[in-house]
Amino acid sequence: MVAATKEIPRNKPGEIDKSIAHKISQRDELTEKTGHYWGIKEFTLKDSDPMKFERFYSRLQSACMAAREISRFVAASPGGREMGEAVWGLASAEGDSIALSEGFVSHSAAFPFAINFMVENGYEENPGFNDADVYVSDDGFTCGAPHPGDTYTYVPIVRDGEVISWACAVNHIMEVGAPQAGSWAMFAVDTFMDGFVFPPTRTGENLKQYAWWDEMWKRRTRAGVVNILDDKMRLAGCAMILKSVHDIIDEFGVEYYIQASKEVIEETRRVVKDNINNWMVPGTYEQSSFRVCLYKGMQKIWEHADKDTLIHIYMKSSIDDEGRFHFDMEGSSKWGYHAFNAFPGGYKVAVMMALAGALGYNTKFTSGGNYLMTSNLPEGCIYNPGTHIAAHSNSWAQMLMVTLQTFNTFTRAQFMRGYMEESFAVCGPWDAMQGEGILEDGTPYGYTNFELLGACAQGAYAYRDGDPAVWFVASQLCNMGNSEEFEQLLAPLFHLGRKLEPGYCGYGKYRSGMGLSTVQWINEPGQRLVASRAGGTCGIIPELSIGMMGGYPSPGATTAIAQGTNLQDLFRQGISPSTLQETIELSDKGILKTKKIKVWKSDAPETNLKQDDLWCQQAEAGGGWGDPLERDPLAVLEDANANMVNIAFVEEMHGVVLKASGEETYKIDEEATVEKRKALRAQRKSESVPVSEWYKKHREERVLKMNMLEPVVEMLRDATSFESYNNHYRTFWHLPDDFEI
Amino acid sequence: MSTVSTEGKDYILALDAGGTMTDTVLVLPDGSFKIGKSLTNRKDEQASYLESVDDAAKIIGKCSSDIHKQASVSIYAGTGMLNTLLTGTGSKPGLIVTKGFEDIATIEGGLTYLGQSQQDMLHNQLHEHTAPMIDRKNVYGVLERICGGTPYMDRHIEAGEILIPMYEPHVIEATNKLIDNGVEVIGILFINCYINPVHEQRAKEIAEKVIAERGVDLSVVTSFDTAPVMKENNRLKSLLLQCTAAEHARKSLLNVEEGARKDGYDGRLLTLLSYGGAVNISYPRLYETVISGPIGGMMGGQILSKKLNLDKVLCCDMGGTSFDVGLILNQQIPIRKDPEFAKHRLALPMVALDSVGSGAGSDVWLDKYNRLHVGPGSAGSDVGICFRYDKLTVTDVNVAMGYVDPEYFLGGKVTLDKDKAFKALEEGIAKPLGISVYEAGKGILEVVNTQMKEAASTMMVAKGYNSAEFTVLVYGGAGPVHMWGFTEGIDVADVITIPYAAAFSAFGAACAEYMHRYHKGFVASIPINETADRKAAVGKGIAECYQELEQKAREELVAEGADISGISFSYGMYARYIGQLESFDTPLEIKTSETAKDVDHLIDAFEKMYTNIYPEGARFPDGGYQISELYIKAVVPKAMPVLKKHKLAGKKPQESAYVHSRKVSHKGEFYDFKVWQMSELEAGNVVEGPSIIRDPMTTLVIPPEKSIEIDEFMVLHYR
Amino acid sequence: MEKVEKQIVEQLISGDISRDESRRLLKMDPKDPERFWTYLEVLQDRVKWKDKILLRISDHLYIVKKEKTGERLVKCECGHELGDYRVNWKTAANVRIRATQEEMSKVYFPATAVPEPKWNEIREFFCPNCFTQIGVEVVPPGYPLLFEFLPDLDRFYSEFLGRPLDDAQDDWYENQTNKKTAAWL
Repeated sequence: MVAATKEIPRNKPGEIDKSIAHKISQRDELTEKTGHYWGIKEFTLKDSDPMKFERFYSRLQSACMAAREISRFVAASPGGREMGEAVWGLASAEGDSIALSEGFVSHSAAFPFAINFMVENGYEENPGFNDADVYVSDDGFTCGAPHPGDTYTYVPIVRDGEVISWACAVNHIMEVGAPQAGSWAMFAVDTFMDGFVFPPTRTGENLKQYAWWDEMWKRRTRAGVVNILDDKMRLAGCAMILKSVHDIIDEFGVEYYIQASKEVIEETRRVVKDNINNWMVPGTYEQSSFRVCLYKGMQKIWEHADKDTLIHIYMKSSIDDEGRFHFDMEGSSKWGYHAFNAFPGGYKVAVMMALAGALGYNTKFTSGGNYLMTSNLPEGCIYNPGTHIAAHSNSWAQMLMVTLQTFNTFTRAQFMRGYMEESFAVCGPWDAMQGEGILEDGTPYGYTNFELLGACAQGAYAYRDGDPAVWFVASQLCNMGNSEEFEQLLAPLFHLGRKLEPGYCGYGKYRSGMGLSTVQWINEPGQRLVASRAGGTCGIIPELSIGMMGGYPSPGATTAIAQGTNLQDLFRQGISPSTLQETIELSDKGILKTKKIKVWKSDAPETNLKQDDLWCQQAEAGGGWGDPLERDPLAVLEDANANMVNIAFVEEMHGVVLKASGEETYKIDEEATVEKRKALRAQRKSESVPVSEWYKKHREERVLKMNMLEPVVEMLRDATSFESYNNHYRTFWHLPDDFEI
Repeated sequence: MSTVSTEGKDYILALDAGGTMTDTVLVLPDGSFKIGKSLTNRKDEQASYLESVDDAAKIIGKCSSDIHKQASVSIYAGTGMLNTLLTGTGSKPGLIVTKGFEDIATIEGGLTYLGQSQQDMLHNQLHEHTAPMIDRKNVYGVLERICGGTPYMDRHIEAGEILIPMYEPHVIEATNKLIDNGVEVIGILFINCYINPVHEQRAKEIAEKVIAERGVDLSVVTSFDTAPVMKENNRLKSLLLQCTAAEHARKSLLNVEEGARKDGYDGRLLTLLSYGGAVNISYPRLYETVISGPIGGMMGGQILSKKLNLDKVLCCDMGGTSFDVGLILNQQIPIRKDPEFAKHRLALPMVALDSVGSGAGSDVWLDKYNRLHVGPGSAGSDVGICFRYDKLTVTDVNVAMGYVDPEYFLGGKVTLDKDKAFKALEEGIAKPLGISVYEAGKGILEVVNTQMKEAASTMMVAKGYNSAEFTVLVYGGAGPVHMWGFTEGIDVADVITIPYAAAFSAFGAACAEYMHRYHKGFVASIPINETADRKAAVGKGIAECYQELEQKAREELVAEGADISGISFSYGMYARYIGQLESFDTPLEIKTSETAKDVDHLIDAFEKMYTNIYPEGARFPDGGYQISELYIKAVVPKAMPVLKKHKLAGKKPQESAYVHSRKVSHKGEFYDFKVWQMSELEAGNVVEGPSIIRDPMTTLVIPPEKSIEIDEFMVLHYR
Repeated sequence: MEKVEKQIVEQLISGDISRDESRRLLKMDPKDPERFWTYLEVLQDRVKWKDKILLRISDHLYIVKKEKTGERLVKCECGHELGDYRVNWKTAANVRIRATQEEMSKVYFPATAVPEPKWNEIREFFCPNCFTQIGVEVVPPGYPLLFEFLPDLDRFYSEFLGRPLDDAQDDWYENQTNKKTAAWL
């Protein structure tokens, strides 16, 4: 852990040490020594009375489920209430999760980081933990939060002065009070621009927040009311868990509670270990992703940050001798003066997301599996900056790629192992718009629209196409929310479109689901309205650098902003754009007249919006699977007849020739298709060269001359500043020792 | 002709047409009741209706027309519409939607986890869309926009304001295309129309004009008329359910009514709403009766829970095709505002109810990997191989094991072929698995019982309740047969059933109030220091809205032929702290809202309700309050059956109750089960296991070590 | 424990499997332990050549034990051999580079979703014999080839499958790509 350890006064001699600090050191020691969580080799309680054990667990589980079911309705943000952007849980004194509600369960991976930090920094003595105290934090550096939007509440459950457990909750709040409005400050240069960031703080007691705490939200964020209600929502759920746990302890006793909790977690660990053995293939998996960060010209007053950066996300995964997965991130970029850094807690959350979906679903979902996910995060790298000043307001923009690489490692292994049903080109689109405004009468507000991350397209499977708007990698509860709800919250924004974008997918033998596109119309913006884009990959670069087995990687996201339009005239003619693509087409045809239309394949910065402006987004899709020339012509025909693809494009992509037959319907030209496919194959032959030739040429012309964009060179310098990647890069290109990158 | 008229009418008829049986409860003038039954005839429900009524009539030496001539009301619940929904055999719909939302039915808000266990939810590869109720090619957009309003009220665009006038040519074009595509019904859904329906109504007019010009027969349904509440995705599901299933079901209900009227009944046929209460079958939003069958049992459960003063009851209804579980809390049936049902999230107040596809008629089969499956296919009224079905069913297993007496099915009306069942079990299951027939039977019943047990405990536990506080109420034709199995190992307070378990849903239907519920979106904010004037203005608005809803209720009730002289209303609102998304159901004692002071009363009612659910720390009064929706319940009086109290007899049943004793293979071992006659047992009796209590309509199995105690209301307690 | 039948595995591979069937496989808990062997059996029947398949690493690529020599090679379904499995098979493939807007527009749609040529190039890898597309990279120029997966075959067969290979060697799990590329200079 990053923070400095302080000397903690221990109990008097003879007394049993019931401090959390002691429990943590014991857990680590025993787990390390035996390979079993807390050294649990036998399930004494589970085996002696399985019925009782299961009843015990279902009590804990239903306490968490009920906490969410009931308290989420206190929320003010759709994210918290129904879109799965929240979770309630029960953690051991050391911070390991024992039971979790539905929601973004993997955010529980941060619990131990917060507990560790508090303990290592003497919170046990000052202020000390009392039953029903309330602690809140949203900081990645101290409490392991993935980014400041994710706000955690911790309520200690104490019996006879001993902390037995923690009732925990987290949700993604609507506005974090950064210079850039919204919940991801995309242009933060250091943590002081991350927004309202605070280490674990006692904000209340006896299940009631202090008066000053509400004032903090009002004073330091643009959506005080919303954030206060979310805060109350988290607390309400924790209060319910606290009560249930005390009842459960009354019934089962403290000793049973503690021991059984450990057995629950060890049980998870064992199931996941078996899954690795039964479903995976050992070896070395190499993956990389890239994330652009275009700051040049936008950070003039922060000279040190006024440059473009290409972030390298590099993972080598393998299975170690203890049968644990090991993710070596050495070679990933160093941390930098941008919003996209992460800390080990958030990184752990990213890994747990993949674990949940691929290896952890068939067991009681607890921290147990995390003990089988080890990593190398060298200090100074983007996942372990080793300094508190690193901004991390949009760590997810690149850290989600860690989830995807991990997940793809798992499903690639399952493909090789024959469990093809599990295998798909994992991509994790997420997009959002955020900003602030001032109504005509001077009322200020801040907002985030989560709809485009609530439900996303899935990548192609090894045996079928992916579906649209079908999952949310970060949460079990995939949900876009309702337009009618967002329009109420975001007063001047109205949907002209909330649709699938035809043709917008990763291609291959099987394609991904079509990506989503929204078009929002600005009406009565009042004194001021600004919006900016927050999200994962940008259109400049596909999300992951490889498509599966010959398919293409997912296209990235794009934002288009049309300003000073003739929309009112178009409305009278029954014309309106429903997707980003339609907006561009209407503009190209001169039907949609604009003073200015800007297409951002990178993060759209804060933009002032006026009456009848349009804000349009394409929110990524998923990767393709397999050789596009092997796609079943009937599948191509089906897409064509559903107006889901561009006819000319798919002819070149799949070599399927379609003839019009009636209005908007087609049929396959069998012969022409055979010919076209032959031709395209021949073209591959004539247009390709043996890799050896390409290698020599590319080495001469690009590598040895470092003939590439400065940010790319910069990225390579970053990556090669770590020894192992330096060797990797130099030996791959056989660079002379004196060669300077 | 009226819906509910009592003078000169002595009887109440209530029927439940389940997948297998159509049960009749005939309530006599003194409140006691008789039970009749017939095999459900899906192709001609009129026939099975009349047969079932006649069967009950015979008990008091009459025939169906004698009863019908003197019936004050006939209530007919069932699962017809549900089947249509689940099997997708309804009408072919077209949809006209706000331009830009044409993919709404495909995207369905991304709700792909509905109805999944937490394990499946975690397993991302299992996220799938529910098959859409409409073909994407039959969806067309119309340019129009209406404002939904904001928490800032008059500081921004007012709710209901027209932002983009509807472009009418789009409607004409869309209607023509839909007619060309051969749709059978057209639904219209516009964003924010729940606040202002003017565009939907205008589009309906235009579409109907086009339809008339084209000379085709198509009905047009608007989302405002179907479910005028917020959240377009849920509203769409309700609209499509109304379009595809409801009108379809209405036809067969009208046919049943016609039969009853020919037979001498001069009232309207009633059916049950998904949130309780009865309406007649001309009810415009008939989709609200989608689960009228299961609802009947829940209402019966509510009556019982009041009688026995039980706070937490779990209703378990095992019929021929499904196993339904629902909760009754504090003697009320909890209502979900946007329930998840059959993997759709609807905008429809509905009792909390879940359903699994295992019933007595469910198919039992081995898949290609020799894995044992139960359902989803079902024999329905063909019972099983032992009767007239070609596949092995759960009933076959019960017959083969000896639980069910082949000579006494429907009280001996039907004789079942035990040997055939036994052979089928042997050939189809036992041999392929290389085990004995009795092991196979044991295994199958374990699978069935476990499925039901899981559904039952999830209903309690997933909601966070402690199962140990619950009384499990078991009914449905097959309930008492499996009671021992699906309650085994779950830790509950008590397990009860009733002599008329098989017809309990029909009994519940007879208990239904004649009731309508009306909701209307109503947006009003009351900031913390709101002036008295503004409060008064809000109050006035509320009063007007209630009057409007009352008016609508009176009109609809009269149109349905109800006698509204004794009509009574109760009121409620959905309210929240300003900023909150969810509005909370707040029942109001009175519809006070004329003055500012009255509005304060409403706020007090909200605070009271809120602090019942949440800790002090979750209150947020300084945020101010917002009302988002108002509703009323209109009730017209109607006769009810009564549960009689009986004098307690001794523990030992009278001689006449004992029938004979029979060999039964229970859990793979043979026992001599004593067989008792339900009708001869008295309050106070105790029946020790191994025993079977038989009744023309069901069989109650009491394994060794277990017993049944009968209390003063003739409720059977399983211990 | 349950065994998934051959024809179901065939359907998975051919893509003919029904949604219900694949859903059932996804819900199987525990998964059928025999699957890997059924998979190999089915795959071996599908290819025209005799060499024993040790692992399927991609739609068309297999690691096989060459009958005559005993080498462990990467072999394309079409029969073409791409060399020792410890060497990144991409070095034995043909590559087509898409480096311009126009070239990239052939594989990304719509225009607003086409990657920026300055920032990356699209590398399409083909089997030099059948010219099936066996891999795609979209990476910045100057970026090394990604070695998607180097299996630890002997550990896999002995520890994970419990059926050790008879020709186990210490250096079977050792990346040899750079040895090959060195020879090119």
